[in-house]
Amino acid sequence: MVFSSLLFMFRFLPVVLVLYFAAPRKVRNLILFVFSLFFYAWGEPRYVFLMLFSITMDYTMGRLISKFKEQGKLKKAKFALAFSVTVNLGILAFFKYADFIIGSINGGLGVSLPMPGVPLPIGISFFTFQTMSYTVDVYRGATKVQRNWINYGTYVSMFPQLIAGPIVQYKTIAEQMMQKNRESVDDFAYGVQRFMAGVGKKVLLANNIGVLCDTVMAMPMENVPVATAWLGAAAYTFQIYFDFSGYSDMAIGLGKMFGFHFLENFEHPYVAKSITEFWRRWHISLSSWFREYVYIPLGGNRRGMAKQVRNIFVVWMLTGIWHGASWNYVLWGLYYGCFLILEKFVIGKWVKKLPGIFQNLYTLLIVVFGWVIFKCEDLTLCGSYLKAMFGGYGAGMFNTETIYLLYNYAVLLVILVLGCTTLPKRWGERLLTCFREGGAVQMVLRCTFCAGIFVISVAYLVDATYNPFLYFRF
Amino acid sequence: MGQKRQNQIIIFLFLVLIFGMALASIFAPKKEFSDRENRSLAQMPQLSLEAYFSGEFAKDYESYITDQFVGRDRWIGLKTGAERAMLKQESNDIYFAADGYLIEKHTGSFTEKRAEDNISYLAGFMKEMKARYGEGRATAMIVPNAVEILKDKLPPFASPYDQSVYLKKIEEALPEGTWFDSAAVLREHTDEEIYYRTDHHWKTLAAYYVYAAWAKEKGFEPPSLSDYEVQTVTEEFQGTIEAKVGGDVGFDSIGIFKPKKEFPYLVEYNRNEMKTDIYEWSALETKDKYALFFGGNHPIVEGTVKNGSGRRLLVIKDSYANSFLPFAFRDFSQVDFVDLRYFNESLREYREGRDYTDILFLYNASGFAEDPNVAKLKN
Repeated sequence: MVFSSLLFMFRFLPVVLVLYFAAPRKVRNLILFVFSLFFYAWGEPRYVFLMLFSITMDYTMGRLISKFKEQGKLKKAKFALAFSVTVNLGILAFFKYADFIIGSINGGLGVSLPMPGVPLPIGISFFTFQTMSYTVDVYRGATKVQRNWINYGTYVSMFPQLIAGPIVQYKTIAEQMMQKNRESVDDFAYGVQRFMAGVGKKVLLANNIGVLCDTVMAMPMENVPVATAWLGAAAYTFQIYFDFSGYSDMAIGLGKMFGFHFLENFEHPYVAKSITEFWRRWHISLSSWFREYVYIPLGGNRRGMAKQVRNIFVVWMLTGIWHGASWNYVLWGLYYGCFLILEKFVIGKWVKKLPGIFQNLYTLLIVVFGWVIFKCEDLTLCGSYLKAMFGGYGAGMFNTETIYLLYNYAVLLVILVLGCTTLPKRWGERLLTCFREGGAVQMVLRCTFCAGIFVISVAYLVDATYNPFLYFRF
Repeated sequence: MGQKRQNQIIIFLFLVLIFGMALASIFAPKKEFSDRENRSLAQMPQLSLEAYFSGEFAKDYESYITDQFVGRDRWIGLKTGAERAMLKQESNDIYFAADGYLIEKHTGSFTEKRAEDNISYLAGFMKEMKARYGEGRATAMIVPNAVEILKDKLPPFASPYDQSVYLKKIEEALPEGTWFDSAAVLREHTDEEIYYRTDHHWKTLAAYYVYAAWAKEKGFEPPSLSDYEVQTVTEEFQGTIEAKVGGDVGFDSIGIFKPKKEFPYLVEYNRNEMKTDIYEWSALETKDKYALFFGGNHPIVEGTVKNGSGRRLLVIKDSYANSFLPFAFRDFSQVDFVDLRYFNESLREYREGRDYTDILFLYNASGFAEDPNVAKLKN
């Protein structure tokens, strides 16, 4: 199930809210757990059992690790941790990468091993990373063990962050999980506004610019003039940001309604002035996860330049392949690895000396090319798309269609450009401070914002010809 | 009013919105059929273990919610309004064209494999028909859609797929002398009302022009406009395209061409129902007013006309033909037509069982490119 659907907004969410808040505090986690399983099972029920297995395994390993540590049996604790990590990675390897690995072997060696053809369980990359963070943190003593299976299951399966993140580390919400009166009116109201902002970003902005991206991608590349190719690439750059950060907004908002405080996942990444900064602002929960559980354990930057370069490449290859079992994602990860190393050791200090706007342009340019690699799972298409962007087909700079697309999307593009900056937030806050804190005008403004987005989004959802879920490969 | 009270009101508003809409949607009476969209709406699916685990139930239930959502038509209109406010020149693959025309873009229809396959089915069929009925007696006519003929009305710089490329391909694949270029006829009349503004069909006037040109080619004295009394039978028609965009859209009128000198005829529908009128007047009371012509689409319609002509015509057609065929009642003593979308017998047996002198294949371009039933020409 996805948040931006009539099913979620007008069936699932009302029922969960009623039962959750009507229930005694003791059983609220259980209610959240049961509904999260239902949410996950919608449309593809079989993999619920996989998730339950993963929950039970990591729950058990967590308890064993903590017990062994109390008894001073560090070796056994280490073994339990290794078991948990191996099983999690095994699940991920089998359900997500088996076809890719075997396909690559077949292609590379010219053999024809049979492909398992397992359909990919939705959100598997998110929940296996969450469960691993838990057992590792219990081993490290960074968090306390969870003795209640239901609470642990609620953490892993919690529907707000289940299928498209953010990747919530157990220690972030460990306390809230056990807290008896975690919900509050203020959090709920904030959650409502945050959820609505997310819905608007996804349904009104991302989906609409996605149509432009798909229009361009569907054209035969030999005929695509330079400006159209760039327009399509820009459209995807906007689509993935507003879609993904919209999902994170919805997740954070929904979490707040139930009293959970997830960490921010996006901080206006497109205003970054370097690639290093971009990755501190984009999908923060994923980069922190890799830093904490891969980069630093490998030695980070403390063991000399050669090791650091190696570590960066390992992390970025993994980051790439985390996004999907396909070579273009590997390439995309390594592409960023290269730029991060370049910035760190070579061009970083020059970039810093550029005027601010050129720092932005430099970053955006690399990001846009990155998204072309990311979008084209077929590397041949990727090549021809990049060729079209450089006018390699001789299809001219632009044609009548370019003009048509430009003026059709002009208003939307202006909104999107502004939306990438911090301006709307700052303007919104400035507008609100013009009026008395907690006053009637403020309330009317906030309500209009929510209801306005709500009504127009529903109109788009009722006539949903285009409402893609972009993360089914994650 | 404090911060707390403000937050309570925001929460209250949110709950009213989601619960209000949820309840309204659940308790609103369910509709079987949408007149506007001219299609059956999804109904509550049966829940079974099998349907649940296969994911079928989930899919059907979501279509059910979307189709039965309270105030569905108004929501769609609101969406179109939002698109237009953003200065978009199209919505749901429909151009907001000049003079109140809504013109379908038909993105993708002509670049699919089916579009190519249908050409080869048609070419094979026409070759056989030319051999069977003789030179000049078998015609294929694929009528371009409004987007091709009314190019001047499209928004500036719009560049939809060029249907003339596809029509050219068909023409080249067909045997010599079997292609009739309806596009050339229609291009002569682009400043007249030849397509509906809110519907995907051509208007009766367009059908008349094309029929006159075709009849001339077939060796008949072409009819002239003065042979007919043109009657406007409704001015409140909103067709299939209107249903896709909703909102504030104008109306179309439907005209019929009554011959001043009419021959008596009988029309038999599906071999069991005889009628003495080709017009189904009750259709004017419904949304689907284009069904005025022969009551819409049927597997087989057989018209017998007492006009003393020795020519007997079989038409393989889609709904574009419905407003075209009344003109043929002047020149042919037998006008039979089958619609491959509903006709499941052997076309060869049917055809050989009756002694036709002429064969006409008449479709609109996007309909032809998209129709999986064109393959039935081989039957």
